[in-house]
Amino acid sequence: MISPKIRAVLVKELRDLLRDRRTIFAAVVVPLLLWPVMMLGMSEVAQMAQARLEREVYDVAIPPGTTEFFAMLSKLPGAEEDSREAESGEPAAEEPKAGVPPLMKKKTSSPALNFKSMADADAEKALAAGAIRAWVNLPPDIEQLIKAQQPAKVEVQYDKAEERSRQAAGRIEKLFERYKRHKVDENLKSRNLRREFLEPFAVTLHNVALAEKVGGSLLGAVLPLLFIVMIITGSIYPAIDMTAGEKERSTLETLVGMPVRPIEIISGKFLAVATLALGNAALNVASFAVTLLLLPGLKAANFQLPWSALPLTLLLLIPLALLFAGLLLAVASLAANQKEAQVYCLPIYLLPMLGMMVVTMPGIELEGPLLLAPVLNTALLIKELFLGHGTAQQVAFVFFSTCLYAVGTVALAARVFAREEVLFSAQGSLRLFLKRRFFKPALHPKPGDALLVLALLFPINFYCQLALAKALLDPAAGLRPAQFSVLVLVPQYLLFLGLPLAAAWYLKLDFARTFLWRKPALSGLLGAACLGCGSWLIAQQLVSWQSHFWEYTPGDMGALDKALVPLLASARGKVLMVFLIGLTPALCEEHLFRGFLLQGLRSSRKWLALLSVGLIFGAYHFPLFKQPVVMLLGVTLAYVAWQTSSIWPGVLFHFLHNSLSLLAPAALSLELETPAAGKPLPGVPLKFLVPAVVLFLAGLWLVRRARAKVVNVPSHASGI
Amino acid sequence: MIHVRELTKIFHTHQGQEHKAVDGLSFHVGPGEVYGLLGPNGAGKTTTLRMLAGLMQPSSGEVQIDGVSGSSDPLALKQRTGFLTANTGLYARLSPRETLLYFGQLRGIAPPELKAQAEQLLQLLGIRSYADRRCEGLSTGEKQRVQIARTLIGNPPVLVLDEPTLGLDVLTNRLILNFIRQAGQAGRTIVLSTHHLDEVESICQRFGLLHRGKLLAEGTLGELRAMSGRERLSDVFLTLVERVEGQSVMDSISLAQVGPAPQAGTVPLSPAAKGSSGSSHDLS
Repeated sequence: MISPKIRAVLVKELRDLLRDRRTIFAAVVVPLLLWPVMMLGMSEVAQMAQARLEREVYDVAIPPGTTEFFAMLSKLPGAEEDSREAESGEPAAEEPKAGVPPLMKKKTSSPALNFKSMADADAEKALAAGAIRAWVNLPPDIEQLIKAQQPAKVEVQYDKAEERSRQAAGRIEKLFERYKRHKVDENLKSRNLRREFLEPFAVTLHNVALAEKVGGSLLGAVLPLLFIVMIITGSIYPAIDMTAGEKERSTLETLVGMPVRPIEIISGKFLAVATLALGNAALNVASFAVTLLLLPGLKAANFQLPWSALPLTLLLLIPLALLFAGLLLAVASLAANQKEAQVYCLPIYLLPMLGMMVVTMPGIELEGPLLLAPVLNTALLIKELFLGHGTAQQVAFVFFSTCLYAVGTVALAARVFAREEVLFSAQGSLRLFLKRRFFKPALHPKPGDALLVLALLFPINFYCQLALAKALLDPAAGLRPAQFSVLVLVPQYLLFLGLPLAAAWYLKLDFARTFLWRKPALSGLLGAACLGCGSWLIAQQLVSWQSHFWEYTPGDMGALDKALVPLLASARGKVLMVFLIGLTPALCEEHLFRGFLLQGLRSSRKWLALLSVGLIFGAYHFPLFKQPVVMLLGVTLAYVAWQTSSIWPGVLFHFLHNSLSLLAPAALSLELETPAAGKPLPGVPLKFLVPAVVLFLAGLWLVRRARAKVVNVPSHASGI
Repeated sequence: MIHVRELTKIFHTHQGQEHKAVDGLSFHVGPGEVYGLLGPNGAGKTTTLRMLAGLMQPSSGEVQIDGVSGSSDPLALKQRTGFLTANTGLYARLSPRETLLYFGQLRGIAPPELKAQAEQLLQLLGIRSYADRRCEGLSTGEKQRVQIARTLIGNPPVLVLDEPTLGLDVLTNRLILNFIRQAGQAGRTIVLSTHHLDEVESICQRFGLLHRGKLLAEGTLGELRAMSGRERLSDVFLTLVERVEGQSVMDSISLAQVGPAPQAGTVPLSPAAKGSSGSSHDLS
């Protein structure tokens, strides 16, 4: 899979880095020592501090003449239990709060309060000076007032900013609570009443969460940030060392003088950084987990690691590590030296902080725009997984989008790396890197450019569609043709067609070559027509087979399909729908996927390029259920463009496929309507399926024959 | 072997101005020839050699090595070229043997052949005794031997040497000059740049005198002497510059030293800064 030259760069970089003591320290020693020292140490210190606070005796001011009253209070039975709950007022058995190690909440008892009789003015001064911890103000004849059932007010003055003062106030409050209960009991007894007269029922809270879920909620709040920070920590030094460091040590000139493409150099370096980042993250997680297991008293606190979430979490971390590796390499490559690179990379540290703020906000869930927000979506999904939530759709969204972003960052890094202004300039090179007039004209995009545009387009398209749907769609009013037209036309023409055209202009590409604007061979057009006439039925059959083992849930798309039915009733509606669903995607998507993207990947192996185009084409088409079949169609469309070296047969194929899927079922009286959720989709009768397969195969045969003799002019400059 | 046609390189400064570092340069180097590209700092030597070695793309014009165009197939051009400068670094944490194997892999040499080639070079250049020590612990001379071996791995037919002796001590200097002489005798095509003119008088068969990005004159030492009526190469150069500039060379040189800022893409090194032996024949 990896070319020998990429492997050579990867092995060399790993060997070079692992021989560096700084890397070993940052990647191995820090994680192995950090967590045990930090968590065990912190826990010990917190316990010691807590125990000391609880053992301490606090001075409390009381009004003159009440000494005996307070002495009586202290002697009341039940002081021991009360004091355990004294300072915070929460029940002792309550589950630990998220993010706080359970041991830090363990309490020991010491009810001691030292009452000092003082005048009001003195007490006020003493409290302000910290000589006493609290001051109780009550009528000296409080006992008589209570006996006469007159209102009696007890005021406790304390300093909330002081821990000791808070503790003292808590103890006093408990003391009076106990006295109140004692008095109530006395009153009830004198009237021959039971306590149930006052408290007819009791409410007890029972925690039913499994130990794993408790652990999950705790870890879900902490781990996403931990993983992200560790991935960056593991990547940042190697990324800077391999790029700006090489420039500084003057080894880069020798390296780029070798017969290796910039994309191969950057890929090797990228894999090395990602390997170290992942290794570092895994080591940190392991060290964290072992430390948690070693912490005494975890079982008592109903805590267990949620092991079931770990495999998916690790799967999600792979594209995240790749994303950061690519991003850091791209940014560090722009710098002339290591110091400059550190400054450039600093903002990347801020991303996980932002992520942590979102993750810890109550009620924030992984939905809507957050699904595609880079880094944040992974952080939120890890949190969900640790709580035992998270759907396959969410995992797919997050995984695919992060993969695409990672590809985008690598493409960006390769683009930076391929620029001689960046390699040889001793000054900051960002401006030179972006200015169009420094670009050289080229025949078609480089792979890095093509992938970068696709990676950028993915979230832009998602957010654009989301915003349009929010602004235009009203579920109650139904779907009107004008709204649907805007929903389709804006993303298609502005993004799928407009963006690659703009990118081609910006990069000074040859439009005819990039978008394959050339006259196709007749056999190519005929083949495409056959493919389009057959593919829609085959696709329907494949989806039907798939629905037997993958349950189909119509979701939003199903609602949209239903909303389209009335539009298809009139002839005018049909024309509009053919334009919107048949012609527009055929024209725009072909320019993006089979034009800009496929031509960008032309320098790679044929089937690798075709498969990549199919995969990315599929990833753009949600829902997840439809993606496998759309991917196959994408590969076929890419094959048509490759064979015919023209965009037009693909446009025809795509147009026929979409239009026939829309109109033909009714014309052929085919029952292909969306069934209820959970039921398999209907298959295609053999009398239709067999001719469709024959047409499709004939189309492939014709397209294969159409292989035009296109002179492959090698790309200008050291293509990446 | 090497055909350079109308080679031009334009750099863009951060202020958006254009600067022609190499201006319509054309020359030809035959197989097995050692060609010296001479000129003061800022003449465009490094930029020219970087384009010859495929490290930079020309703004216009073309470099062809062994029939391969650098513009259309830069990788094939690099495959045929070994590039060496005095100031390129080695990977400090790799050993000389690992360095050779790494660069051999990048040149796409098959493993058994690569190992044999590396061993042969280690033996030939006397590196074997320290072949497994890390490069960070080697002396300057030892490092230069490793650099030479690194340049020769893959047996490229063309060597492009940019100021290969700049800033080196006497012993290492001699090592490099001997290497160039032997490589030339072994039939490799070599283009080297220097402003230490006396060093290369006896090594190069032909010279190209470069001034402000243009080729001032070209020929064998005898032809250049006849052209200028001067004996020493440095005097030849100064006389020819005077003819073109129409003013005293000393004026033009002093202007060159205080005038324009170093160009982007060049290596603005002066011998004084690098502790050069400061020969009277130096042009900078």
